[in-house]
Amino acid sequence: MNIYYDKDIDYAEIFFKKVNNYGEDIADGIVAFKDEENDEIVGYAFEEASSSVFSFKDIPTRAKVAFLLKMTREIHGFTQEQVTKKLDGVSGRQYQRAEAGDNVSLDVIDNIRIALPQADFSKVFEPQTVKKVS
Amino acid sequence: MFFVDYIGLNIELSEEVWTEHIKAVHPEICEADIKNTLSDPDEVWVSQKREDTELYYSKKENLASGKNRYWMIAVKKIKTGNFISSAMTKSTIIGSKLIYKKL
Repeated sequence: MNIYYDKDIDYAEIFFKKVNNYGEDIADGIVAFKDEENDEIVGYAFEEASSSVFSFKDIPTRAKVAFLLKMTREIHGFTQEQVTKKLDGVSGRQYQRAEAGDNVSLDVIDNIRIALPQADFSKVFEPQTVKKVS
Repeated sequence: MFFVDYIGLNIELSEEVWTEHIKAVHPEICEADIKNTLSDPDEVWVSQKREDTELYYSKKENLASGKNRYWMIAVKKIKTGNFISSAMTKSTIIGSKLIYKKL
């Protein structure tokens, strides 16, 4: 996964595949990039990305986590190395996997949340209603 | 990298945006496409969401597929200068306000 974020204009592109592609506007401020060969969607662009990425339904949660980490680092001017130095019990490699959009465990996410408190994970994980079992 | 647009404005493309973003996910675009679209666009629009971002479009001519395709270069015009934020192929032209149209 390739994630690009321009903090000056709150613009992001999230790509799942590198192919020759073209962009098609699919909603206000959202572009879907399609493979020129077969029209398969290979990525998206988002204006007002700091809110629109998280409310968009068609990308997986791991992509939203990856974007949140990248966006937070860019906004606060942190390098990956600075973040990974603060991690306790999670390797730098695991952090890089999370920021690359790979699957990581909730334990890893929890550890990153503590090391990078500026990242607002409530944007990704909406509070769930817990039903009481009688 | 520096380019000059149709009204003589200097526009910068940082090495990071070129190598880590544009070349990485928009492989169909080369430096000459960016240069030509900035210096001789068909249309320039203000972005739909941001007044400080302008979208330079030029039509890709003579495509074998016969499809409509445009080069689109997004330029942010901020206090520190004019910078390319992204470059891509689009199927349509879109923007909030037309700034320039080639006659």
